[in-house]
Amino acid sequence: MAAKETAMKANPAAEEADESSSRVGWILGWVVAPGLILGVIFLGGVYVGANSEESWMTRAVMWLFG
Amino acid sequence: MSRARIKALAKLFFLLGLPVGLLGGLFGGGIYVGATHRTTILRIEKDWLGMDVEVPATPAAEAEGAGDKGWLGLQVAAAKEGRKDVKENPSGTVDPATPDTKTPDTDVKPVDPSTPTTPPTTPTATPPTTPPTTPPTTPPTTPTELPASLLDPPLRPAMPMTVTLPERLTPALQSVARDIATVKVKVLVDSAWAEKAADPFGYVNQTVEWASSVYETQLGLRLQLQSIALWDGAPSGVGPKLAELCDRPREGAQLLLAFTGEPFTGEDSFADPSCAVIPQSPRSRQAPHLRSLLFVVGRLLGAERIEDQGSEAWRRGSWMGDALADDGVPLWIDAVSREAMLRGKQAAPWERGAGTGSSAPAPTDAAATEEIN
Repeated sequence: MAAKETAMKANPAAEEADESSSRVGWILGWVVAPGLILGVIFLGGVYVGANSEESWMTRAVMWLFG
Repeated sequence: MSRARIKALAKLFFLLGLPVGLLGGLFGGGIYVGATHRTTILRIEKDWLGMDVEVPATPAAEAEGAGDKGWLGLQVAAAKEGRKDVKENPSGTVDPATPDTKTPDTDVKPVDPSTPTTPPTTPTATPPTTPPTTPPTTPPTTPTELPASLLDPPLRPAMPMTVTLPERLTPALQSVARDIATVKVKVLVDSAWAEKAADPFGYVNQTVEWASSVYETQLGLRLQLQSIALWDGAPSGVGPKLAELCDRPREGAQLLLAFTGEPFTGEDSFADPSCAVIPQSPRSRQAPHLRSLLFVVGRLLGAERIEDQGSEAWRRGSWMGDALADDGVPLWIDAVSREAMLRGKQAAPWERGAGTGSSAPAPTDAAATEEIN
């Protein structure tokens, strides 16, 4: 009986810990990692656009949107 | 083809195509932002990331300077407007061989540097006393606008020497370097040297332009050529020239320089922070006055001459040391000299010049004198 009460008291704390770690995991997995990947892709484009002004990619984009 | 198959292909297209399209669009957006904000991004790469890139001058920066477009802006605008008038001589251009007696200074002949007779083309191998020959150019009439596209061919040849980018600055000095200061320059050309040159005024324009681009990218200091004049009857020798130079009328210029044929010796050729003699380097064929101009301006800004030929700065070809290096040595400034120049730039020594020459625009014959607006 006492063991059951201890287990029941420990569970909410464990559940809270599980919940926070899953929240962190959620943020990492759905916000940070994709954000980083998309940011790297965007910054790669910025680098190409700034440093390779005469490349076909830059000229194609500027022809489309410039 | 059955409906099920069409449905399957459409699902595949959206499953693969949409993500690829989104990523491609994101990359393309980055390219667009990079291309339209090229100058800012290159400046960030250079200053913050320490990358070896060359930051182009922005059109806005070229249009600054109390509303002045500068010589380059005028030349480009003139080339756009008057390409049909390739060989026309501009009205008001004074033939250096026939002094205009109507000017107040009878032995000084002001010439509008925006109307050169023959601009330089590709520099050729010539003796140090003979600047490169130049073809006829389009004279500017009424400067209106800058070129529409950076893809237009440049009106001036590229600098014959390469430039090695200096080391990164501390954040405090970076902000000083980013703050562009413009110095109005008037150049007097020793007639004894000019007689041996094919196009002395075009050469002076070219040299000051190159020095300005080097100083602007590395120190944020722009040399704006206000006017050029022929100095008839200049005394021989740097010392006697210097004694007379500072009393010459400046016509609104803050810095008065004299290009001469005397060889560069490393000794100071200025007595006043606002006027200096620029000797030539006998070891340079392409731009004999460029290194000495960089050296003299550096001295005016407060950098010390590097005399230790065993020092790394000298061996690497810092223009504050080996100003007699040949054209194969890239232009480079050592960190100590650069820091001194940046601190000197803040003090604006040319404004403290004690020259007795008039700094206000002198009343001159309008037909003989033209200045850049």
